Amino acid sequence: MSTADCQARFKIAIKDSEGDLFRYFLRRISNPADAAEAYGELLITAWKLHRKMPTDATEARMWLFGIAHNVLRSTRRNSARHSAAVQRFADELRTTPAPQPEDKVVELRDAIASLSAGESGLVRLIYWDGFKSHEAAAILGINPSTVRSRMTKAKAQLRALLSTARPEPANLAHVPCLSVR
Amino acid sequence: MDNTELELLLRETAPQPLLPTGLTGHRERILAEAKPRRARRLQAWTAGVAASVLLLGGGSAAMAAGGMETPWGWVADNVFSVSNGAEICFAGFTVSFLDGVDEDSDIARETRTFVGALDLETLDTAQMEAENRQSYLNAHDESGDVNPITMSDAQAKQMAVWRVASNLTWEHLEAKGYDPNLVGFNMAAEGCGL
Repeated sequence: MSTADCQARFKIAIKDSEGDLFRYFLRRISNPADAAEAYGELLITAWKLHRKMPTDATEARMWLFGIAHNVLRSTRRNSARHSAAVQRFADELRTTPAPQPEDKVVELRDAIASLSAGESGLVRLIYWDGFKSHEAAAILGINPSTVRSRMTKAKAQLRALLSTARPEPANLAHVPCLSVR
Repeated sequence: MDNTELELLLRETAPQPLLPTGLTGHRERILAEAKPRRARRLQAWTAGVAASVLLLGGGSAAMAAGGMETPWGWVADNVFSVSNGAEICFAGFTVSFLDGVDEDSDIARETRTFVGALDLETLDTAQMEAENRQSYLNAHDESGDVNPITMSDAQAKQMAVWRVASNLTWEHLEAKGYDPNLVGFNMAAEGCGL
């Protein structure tokens, strides 16, 4: 494949997923400016590696989210910190207030955060970002069967955490918002 | 709580952030900036250690002579150096343009003229240095915990010069009626610990 073809495919893949990729960071990084920096690091890293991007569009998308996952795990975003364009983007978002979640959501997010890093990461990929379990496996670079077993364990832990936090009330008319919708 | 209920709850915990306006423009500019940066850094590294020694021994004036041609083998639009203790922290600045912007276009000429004329030594960078330091001190890891990043005085100065210069360039282009989103501002550095 020619250099021009590689670059064209890369541009399309990035363009198709840019909103979802930025939301990925916004959902996990409370400060919007930091999320912008992470997004910039993702773009620069993906560009450096774009010749390795899979040719299949779906696999290319998973590949981009795999890079996003790695960017999130790293605290040193040197490429982004040395990019004037990234810093300009971050500066624009510096005055954007972080969204304040409702109490009922905070409790559940805390429960998710209390899981192991591997399990909470999976829960977020599947229920926040909408990936199927085999797609989450591709992003994290693990076996799909491992994803299934981790999810089973994670759900059991979440049920236990939620039932501890909110004992089942006798009168369903007073069920708090977390228990039943 | 059955599986369906739990899954519904988990989906409802997903933050629904609004995307900022101009996301596409930022993406295009970040990538436009990344492309020449990569090529130039590669050239810089292939120039090797000998070039670095020449560079440090020669001082910034020698490096800046002859149209900002650096011993790394590429031409900078402007250069800046600052002492980093035992060595010299040197940075070369270049501008880049989005695909479709001709190097001979009015905006390209205006940008290069402005950047080349900037006196980087006299830029007031105090506020930007303070902001950079604060940003590094407040860096967060993926758990949301504060995880400060240390930087030398030379790094702080170099970063601040670069950011102030890029902001001035974009403001100048905007004032002249050009679209600053078409222009990227890159830096390659040596001896700064970057």
